Amino acid sequence: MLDLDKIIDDVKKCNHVPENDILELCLLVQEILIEEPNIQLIDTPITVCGDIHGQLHDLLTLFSIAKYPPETKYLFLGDFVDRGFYSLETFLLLLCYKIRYPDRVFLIRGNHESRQITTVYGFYDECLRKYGSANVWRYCCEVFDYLALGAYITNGSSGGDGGVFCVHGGLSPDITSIDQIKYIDRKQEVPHEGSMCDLLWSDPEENIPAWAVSPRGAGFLFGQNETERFCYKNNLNLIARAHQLVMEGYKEVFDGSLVTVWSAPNYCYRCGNIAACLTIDDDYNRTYQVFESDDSSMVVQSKILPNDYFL
Amino acid sequence: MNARKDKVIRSTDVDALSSRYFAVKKDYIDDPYMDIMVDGLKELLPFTSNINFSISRNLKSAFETPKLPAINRGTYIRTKSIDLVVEQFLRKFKEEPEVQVVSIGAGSDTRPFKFLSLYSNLKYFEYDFVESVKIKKAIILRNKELSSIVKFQNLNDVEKDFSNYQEFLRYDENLFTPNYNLCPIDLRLLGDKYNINSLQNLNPNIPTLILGECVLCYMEPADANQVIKFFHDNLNKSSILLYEPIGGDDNFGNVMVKNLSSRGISLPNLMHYNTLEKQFERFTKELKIENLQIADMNFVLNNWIDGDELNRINHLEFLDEVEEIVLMNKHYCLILAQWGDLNFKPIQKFQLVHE
Ligand SMILES: C[S@@+](CC[C@H](N)C(=O)[O-])C[C@H]1O[C@@H](n2cnc3c(N)ncnc32)[C@H](O)[C@@H]1O
Repeated sequence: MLDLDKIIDDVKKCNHVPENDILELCLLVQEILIEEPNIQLIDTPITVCGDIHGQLHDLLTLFSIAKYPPETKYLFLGDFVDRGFYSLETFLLLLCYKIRYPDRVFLIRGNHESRQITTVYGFYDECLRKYGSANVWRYCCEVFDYLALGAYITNGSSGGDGGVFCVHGGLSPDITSIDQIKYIDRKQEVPHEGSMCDLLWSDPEENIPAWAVSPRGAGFLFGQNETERFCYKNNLNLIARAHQLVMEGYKEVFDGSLVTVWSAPNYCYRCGNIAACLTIDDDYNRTYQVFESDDSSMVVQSKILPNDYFL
Repeated sequence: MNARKDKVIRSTDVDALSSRYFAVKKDYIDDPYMDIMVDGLKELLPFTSNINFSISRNLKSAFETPKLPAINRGTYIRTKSIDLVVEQFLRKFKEEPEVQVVSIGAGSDTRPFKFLSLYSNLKYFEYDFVESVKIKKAIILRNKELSSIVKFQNLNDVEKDFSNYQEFLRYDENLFTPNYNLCPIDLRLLGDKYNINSLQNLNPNIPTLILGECVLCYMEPADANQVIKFFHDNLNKSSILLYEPIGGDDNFGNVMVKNLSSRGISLPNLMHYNTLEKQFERFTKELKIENLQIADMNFVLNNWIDGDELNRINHLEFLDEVEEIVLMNKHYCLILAQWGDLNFKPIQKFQLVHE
């Protein structure tokens, strides 16, 4: 039997977790995730968090500011892994909380929860370095395929003030109503194109008249028109998404109808940005809590590759 | 002057070279001399110290760990934009009997070989610390192609270079050929220990382009300005092109200072001249050089590279670091200043222009 408390404790300290425990953890969480719909229905109040990217110490700071689960109910918008030095610990911690408090912790998929991306941006190498084989990475990738694609936050009233649609990246030209997302067969590697890809890859862009090509090479750019149309059609008062570094931690655009939330302070130990999480209360009021990188995470500095700058 | 600190500053050349190495491998830029340089450095750099173990290890990892796509793209625009300016300069003066390029803190740059093979009226000067200069000299003389590009004439009579620290210390440090001058100069001593006559063969009266690519940033502001002033005072028709990091008015610069200090690298200019505007005032007010153009690397990328080429590099690698590359590029800039009746007007646009 898994000793979750012990694993949580070990992970927080970055102690080694046996490979077999990780396998068991991943299998357990898959059983929970498989029951979840593509778009999870979540009641207010809830705290929404953006990209974490393996910055475990900053995630712990976030929890200490916004309170540890189960006291606060959380939705994480994906991109748990890659770039930071503690992707594995970050992901395992979130999985542990998911297993322990399945109705208080929600995880949806980001574009980095993919086999292809994690081999370029660090998670694969990290697992190999820490375990000497890719097994652990493989178990985690299995979990990625089960993660939901988005969430719909509601205060339960049937009134007309709409809910909050949450997704990692953004909108897709192939999707006009949230209902359409329910029919996607999500249990697969993130495809290179199509609606599932777009939800995880797209970005909002100010001052564009219509859908445009994304410089990321996947997903689309969408503007205020597309956003307003989607909100109107689906009776939403907000789209909350992550995916893009914002120096202030959060950024509302399109007259407040869309927000980007970013929860990795001093991203990649280099960008110098602030991080934030967003709490939505029963009246759909938004409260942002911002936080900076804890100096203790500067411990990792000795490992920084000099090549992160142009010298 | 602190020898330990200088050694760390010299080591930044390996960063610059390895970044270019991977940008070449990924087809961002073309550089037929890259492998000669890298192989030479791998072989010779360990002899520059009597404790060579850590040098070898760092070198190995520098050329084995590929760079992330964002770094490759930043390296691309750095190399490409400087090439574009140099090319225009040389084209403008191609009918002149002679034209000079002076690279300060040249490191393992391969640009001299590229341009010397294209322009027969070009005289190229490279200055760096003595260790870097000795290595580069040995690499050139060991290679037939490079030796012939720099018109080295006594190929049958090359002095023996070095295969240990003692020999390295004894190795002669200058290379003067009809079109190429490589010699050791601590730039901080220009105008002090060195006067214009110490820069052998340099002609103060012909069109000259000074290149400083990530070099002045490692010096104290007063030293860096003294370098610029030295050339301003001593060369009559000249232009200086700098590629420099700028701290910015966000937190990026502070984090950069902190991160690089953990490697022993200090960047005294970074926060001192942290914005384009401050760099602008540095030249116009402090150095009294009026003819000036400045742009950050986002501007350069968006305005200097045509659509097809942009499309080509955007498709070389899949890149998820879109916001980061914009953030990085915002914190690096190109500065082109000139004096004397040079009248050099590159077609590329800059952000801040003063005449
Ligand atoms: C980051 S490297 C850049 C090399 C080359 N310009 C490039 O961009 O590839 C900086 C170079 O400047 C040289 N340098 C720095 N300070 C110097 C000084 N005071 N005198 C001579 N060379 C110096 C270093 O030795 C090193 O080769």
